[in-house]
Amino acid sequence: MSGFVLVASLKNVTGSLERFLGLLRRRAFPVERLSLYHVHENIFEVVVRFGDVNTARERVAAEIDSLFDVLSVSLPELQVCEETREFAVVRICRDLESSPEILSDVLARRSSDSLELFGTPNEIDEALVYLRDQGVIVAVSRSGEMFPPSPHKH
Amino acid sequence: MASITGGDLACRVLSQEGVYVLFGHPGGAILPFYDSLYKHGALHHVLCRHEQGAAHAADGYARATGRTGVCVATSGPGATNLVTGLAAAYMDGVPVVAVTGQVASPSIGTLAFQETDILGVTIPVTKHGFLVQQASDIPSVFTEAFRLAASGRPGPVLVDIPKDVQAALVDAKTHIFSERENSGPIELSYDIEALKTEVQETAKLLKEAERPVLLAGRGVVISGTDDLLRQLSEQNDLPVITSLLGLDAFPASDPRALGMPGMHGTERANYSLQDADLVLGLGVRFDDRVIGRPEAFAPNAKIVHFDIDATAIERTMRADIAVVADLADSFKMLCSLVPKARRTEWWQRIRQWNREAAPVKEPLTAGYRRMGPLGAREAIRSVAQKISESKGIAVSDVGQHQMWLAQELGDAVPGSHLTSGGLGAMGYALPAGIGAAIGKPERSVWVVAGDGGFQMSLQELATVVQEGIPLRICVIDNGYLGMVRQWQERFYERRYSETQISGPDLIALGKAYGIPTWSVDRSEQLESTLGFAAMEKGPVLIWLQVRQEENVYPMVPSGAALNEMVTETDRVPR
Repeated sequence: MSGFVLVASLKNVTGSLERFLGLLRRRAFPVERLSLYHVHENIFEVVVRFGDVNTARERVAAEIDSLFDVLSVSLPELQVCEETREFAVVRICRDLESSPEILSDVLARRSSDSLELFGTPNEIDEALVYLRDQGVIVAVSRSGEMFPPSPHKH
Repeated sequence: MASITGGDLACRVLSQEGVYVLFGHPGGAILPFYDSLYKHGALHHVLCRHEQGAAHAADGYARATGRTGVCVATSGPGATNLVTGLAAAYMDGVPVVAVTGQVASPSIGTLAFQETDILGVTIPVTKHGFLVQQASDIPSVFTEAFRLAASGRPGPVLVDIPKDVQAALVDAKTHIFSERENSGPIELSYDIEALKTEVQETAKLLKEAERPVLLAGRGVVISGTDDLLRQLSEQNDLPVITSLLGLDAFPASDPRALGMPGMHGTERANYSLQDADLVLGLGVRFDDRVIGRPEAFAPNAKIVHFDIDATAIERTMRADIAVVADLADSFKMLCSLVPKARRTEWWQRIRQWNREAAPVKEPLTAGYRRMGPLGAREAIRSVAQKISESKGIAVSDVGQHQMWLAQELGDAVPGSHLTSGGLGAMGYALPAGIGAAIGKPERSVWVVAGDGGFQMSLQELATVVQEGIPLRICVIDNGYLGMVRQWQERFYERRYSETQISGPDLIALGKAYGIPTWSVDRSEQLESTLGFAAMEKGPVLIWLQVRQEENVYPMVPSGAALNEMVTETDRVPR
């Protein structure tokens, strides 16, 4: 069974995140990416991209939805999932001599010791593979993927 | 401004929720609450001798009464001792609210004395947990906890209250009489039109089926739809198979009752499931002990699953139709659509598989006396008969005796058969019996435990005596951890590794606790002794010393299909 993305609204109360993550861990769901951000007062939105799961995605959603702190769960269509964006900051050990094609769409800002990348998670992945091959990466931090404002809720 | 403490507030809110009994054990971090309890006359506290006993007692109370049970413990070890009891309640869908003391808020996270992150520890075995951060939150948290415990598939909810929060002063008027905005059970939302369609499809399948069976679980008991089960079975001439936790959903004496399925189920139940062309699961979770090898379960059948819990659907078993709703709604809808029918051919076939019923169910005729060493199943059959005669509540522990009792149990109304089915927690029966007896003082409560399980919670005999609880406690003593030994006999070439178990002289033990005790080790003593014990006011202890190496049959070996069961006649040659 192929991967999929799940979006959950979660109450920001004691233990809610622990319960959410605990369920993913206990059921050994393969999490590829997870991001979390405030959308309203006391409400988080959590976006989880799962790898190949042996369980039907509707069942995964039902299990997560059964948590008391989870206010809603949605399974955005693949097309919508491709609209997600991610931000990455790459610390580099030396400046790149030129701006290669592969970075042209994602490079938001560059300085002598860091690059800021913005794009789809796949674009970020590809850019990082390239930078690793160049041997310039010291460290990377990624924001996790985010949806444009609530398109998945329509 | 008149002030009360968080502990006072908690007591008052518990009373508001209809609670009148708590099972617990005090300690340092829950002292302010216990101080409030001392002043709050409306709550009766049962002092259990171990917190696990308190959790099981709350569970037994809840199963017997249908109300939410409450247990209380202090922080650290007190709270962690609750875990097995909460897990047992979680597995079997039993509404329990556990109140734990926590170290004072500033000390949380400092490895303070008796500090444990009990909220974190219990996440996998509770429906939800709350850490109360200020005393004024106590009413809303408790209200939510009770709603949640009893709503949907019931289960345990933990409320952890730091000591300073219990001791904090709050304005009495503001909080005690505050409006409870969220009272009542949590409403389940489902699409009525979709539900109707699913139920109509089910009715159509039932009409077309030639070999349908109903497989009923504890969901029928919880939803109070046992009358609908009888109605449906009768009007459509349907065989009824009841899981271990659904045994009290359908009378065993009904001609359409096939008994329990699964690992130690009856031949007629298992063969019927395997031959069926439609299995209608009602509030049953198709657990591994029920279905055997999943891919071989009911191979010719369409499976329809009615359950309130969406996560139960396809957890272990495919569902051709899933009806996720309260059985009280969906089952009623189904009954109205199912016509009268007679299924003569199907019943003729089922009766062929009834061959094990005759010797097992043969009633003891008047004047009949077996002679010789006491058989375990024989003893339990007589105990089951006494339970039936007294219309009592049967509370079994875990192991061989649990299965024998399930096989021998007579007619039972909902809330009359209590056992730890999902978790299989040894030590459950005695404290759960305490809870059941307190919840249903008008009924005779019989605890049936093996010598292994009894020794896991026998400290609760002191609770029985202190509270004057008229339990009838039967200990089936075969000197072994019998079910494990049975597996060692069959699958490990009789290497009885650490299953031989000694125990105390129960006559002396009974005397020590001041409980009248009888010992029986011969068949001919059985009837008269049980008769005496049944007439006593209670509590009484009956020590049934039985033959050592008796096995539970039929048995479906782990990983086998239900029709690959081993019966008494297939016994390993000695």
